[in-house]
Order: sequence, then structure tokens, then C-alpha cells
Amino acid sequence: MKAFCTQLFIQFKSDLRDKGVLMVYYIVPMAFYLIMGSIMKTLELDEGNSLILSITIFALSMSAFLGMPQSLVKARENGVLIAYRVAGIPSWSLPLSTIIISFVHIMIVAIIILFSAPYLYSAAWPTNIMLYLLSVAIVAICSEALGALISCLVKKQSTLTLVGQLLFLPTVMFSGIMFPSNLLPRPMQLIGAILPATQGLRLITMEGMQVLPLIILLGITILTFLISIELFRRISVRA
Amino acid sequence: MQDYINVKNLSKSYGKKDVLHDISFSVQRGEAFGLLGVNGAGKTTTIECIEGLRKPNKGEITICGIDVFKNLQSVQKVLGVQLQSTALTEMMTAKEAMQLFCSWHKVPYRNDLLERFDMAGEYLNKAYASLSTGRKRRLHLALALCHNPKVLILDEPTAGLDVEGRHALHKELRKLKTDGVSLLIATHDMAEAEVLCDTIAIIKDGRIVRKGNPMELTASASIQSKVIIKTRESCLKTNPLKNIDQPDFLEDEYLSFACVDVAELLLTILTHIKASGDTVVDLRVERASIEDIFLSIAGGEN
Repeated sequence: MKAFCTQLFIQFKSDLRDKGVLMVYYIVPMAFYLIMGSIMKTLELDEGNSLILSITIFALSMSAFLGMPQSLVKARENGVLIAYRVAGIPSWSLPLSTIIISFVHIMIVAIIILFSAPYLYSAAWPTNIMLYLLSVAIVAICSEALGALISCLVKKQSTLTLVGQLLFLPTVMFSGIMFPSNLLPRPMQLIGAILPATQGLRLITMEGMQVLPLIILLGITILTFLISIELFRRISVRA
Repeated sequence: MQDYINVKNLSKSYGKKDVLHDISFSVQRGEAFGLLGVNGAGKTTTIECIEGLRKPNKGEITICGIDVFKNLQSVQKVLGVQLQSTALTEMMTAKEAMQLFCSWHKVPYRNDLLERFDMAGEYLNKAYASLSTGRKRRLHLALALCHNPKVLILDEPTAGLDVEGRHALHKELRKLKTDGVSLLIATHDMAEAEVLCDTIAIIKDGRIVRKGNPMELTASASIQSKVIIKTRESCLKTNPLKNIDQPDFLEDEYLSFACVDVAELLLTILTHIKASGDTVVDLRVERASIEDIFLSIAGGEN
């Protein structure tokens, strides 16, 4: 346990030195936040807490679908996984530490947005901040589970970017982050319904947590994590 | 003497392709054992089986008496590995890497190893991605030694190193040998194997075709020595010797004769030169090297 904590700490520090990681986890989401916040404020589009929610879900989807899988596949492709295995460091420690630290990055961004948006853009505070953060954490974990699945299914970094976009772009377009999903054609609404971001927007409301989206999100999380664990077990045997 | 590595009747196939056939060897305490072979000969598969990364179809492997396939975790406590194909996270520093490896092996932080492999000072806090190939190799070697292993497996340890780096690394590996660490070295570098290894096994098509110490191997070869000569009038070229194998024509009018009996060949050549009225400008006698043996085996001789 102590060794794994050391690994988490080292990974967090080295992530903060990595320009690529900073770009995906912090710079792009924060730039998007500043631009969208200004637009929404100017056009007076913000209803309730939609700015905080939309930007947070955009940021966590980007981190989970584009950032975290990239780190995992790169580590595998470059021989980090095999270096750990031959040194007697458990193979699982690499994906698990990557997922946990990615989650930490996501929560940092979520907290920055949550606490700055009311001051910068007069966004409304959630009624229950702890419940709101718990909801964000659930959506983040679900998205990370999907990201982990991608990283197990895709062997090369070059392909990974494309596959990551296949999840990220529908998330942005069909989930209701950019515009209300009920304005979309029916097929697109159906595609959007299976995305964690869509369920996340339904889960996190001003009033609190909703049950059905919670069940769907937990179901996706458990299923994708179980498949990812089995796929990773096979990958690490081959590595 | 105790066998630190014991490989018995190792066979491995990938699908229908047999890559290892009945490989057996042992490495004793403080011995350096070299595995030589061309790409695809079976070196890497042998090493991967020893590390427990691959399961053979047949055979047994023990490290310090521990069965690799029954108790890999215990094996990893006495085994250090430096592979060519491994890496660390790009932004991880040498210091962080050592902290990580030491914490997983439950040993105190080993700055002494980083100093020993010249990775302390300015390199200590440099990101892994910014290190040169040589520095990365030194770091991986230091990491492989963090838990004081009894057996060290090295895959192409000096590939990509400059002359100075090679010498420094050879010195460290000799020191490890004298400390009682057994080394298993897979390499393409014949000269390295010759100077570093106590025993060399040449693998071809998944079989060990020759094994012995470098002296034994070179002495057992059908081509034992080379006589390299240059004469003023090039009489050996214009008036070739009869009953002797044709020489190789080297640069700058040098000729190279391969032979088993050096004395007899020298006598014949010098007599011929004297009879032709020519004179010797340069003459060298070279013992056959591991590279010559390797090439003769790679060329088809078994």
C-alpha cells in the first residue's frame, strides 16, 4: 500500500511536468470554460447551473476519453508496463495509478470551475455542494471506465486519438453540453442517451441526485471496468 | 558451486512454430553467461521464459533454487532485469524512479546506486525522456540492482553506448561478478561477450549449438587462426601458393590466410616469399575470435 501511494504521488508530480497532460487536463478545458463562460454571460444563456455543469462534463469527458487512455497506451507501447513487470512491480499498479491520478486532475478542474464560475460569470451555486461533487465524481469514474476500455481495446497511440474522438465528439454534440438534447433528431438523442455525459447532466440537478441516471451510470461503470480488467489481464500476459 | 540459474530442457513454440528446442544450461554464482545469436535465434524468448514473462511448453527453470513458474514473486526478489525494450514514464526523474522501485521492493532509497552509475548530480532530477540512451541504460541498471539481486539479466547492455560508456559499464559488471552476482547477458556484440563472459552459448534456430568458455570455443573451431601479411612485391598475389586455401584480399595489399596450424603455414609462406625474392612489410597472427566462430556457425556449420 505504501509503495502504491508512492507511485501515485510520483505519477501526480510527473503529470504536472508533462505539457501534453497539462494541455488535455487543464489548459484546453479551462480555455473552453473561459470562452464559453463569457459567451453565455454575454448572451445571458445560463439557466441555473448549466454553465458549471456543462464545462465540468466537457472537461471530465476530455480527460477520460482523450487524456487518460493516451497515457496508458503510451506507457504500454513504450515498454513501461514490461519494465514494471520484470521489476516485480504489479502490472495493475500502472493503469490503476493512471486512472486515480486522472480522477484527481478531473476533480481539481471541477472544483476550480465550481468555485470560480459564480464569481466570474454569476453562475448559480448548486444547492448541495457535496452532493454535486459526488455526482461529478460518479460521472468521472464512469467516463474513466470507458476510457480504460478504449485503452485496452486499442493497441497504438495513433489509432487511439481517433477512437477517443469517437466518444468525445458525440459527448460534446449529443449529450446536451452545447445545446439542449431535445432539439436533436431522435437517433442522435438515442446515441446520446448511452453516453455518461448525458446521464451525468440528468444526474446532477440543482435539486440533488436522480436515481435512474445513477443506476445507468453505475451499470456502465461496473460493466466496462470488468471488461477492461479482463482485457488488461490478457494484455499484461502478452506484454 | 551453487547454480544460480538452472534451465533444463526448455522448449517453446508459438503456434506451430518451434522457437526453442530442448535448451539446457546453468549459471553459477558470480559467473557471467553470454547468450549469442542472430535475431530470431531464440535469445529473447529464452530470457523471457527465465524472467517468467512467458511460459514454456516444456522444461524447468529455477533461479537460486526457486521455480520461476511456481513462485515468480520470490524469484523477483533475487532477480534484477535490464531489458533493451523497457522504458519509464517520460517525465519521471531518476530520483523518482529509484524511489518507486525501492518502495515496491521494500528497501530504503538507494542514492548510492545512482551515484555509482553516474546518475546523481545533474541527472538526478532530469526527466527520463530527456536522458540520452546511455544514461537511460545506466538508470535501468541502477534500478535493476536496487534490491541487491543475486542474478542479473541484461539484454544488449551496451547497445547505443559510446566507448567510454561501454568501458564504464563493463567495469561495473565485472565488479558485480566479483560481488557474487550471476550475469546472464544476451548480446549481438561478440567482442563484449568475449571480454565479459565466462561461458558463452551460441543459439541458432532455437538450439544451443556451441557452449563453452571463450578460449574453449575458439580453440575448438575448425578455423583457429589468421595470418595477415603484406609483402613489398605482392608475390603471394602474383604467384599464389599451392596446396593452401586461397586468402582473403584485404585493403592496402594485405592478404589474410585462415589456418589450423599456424607454424606450418608461416613456414610455407616465408619460404615462398624468400624463394620469390620478396620481403615482408607487415605480418600479424590473429587467434580466431568468437565473431569468427559465430559467423562460421551462422553460415551453416553446426
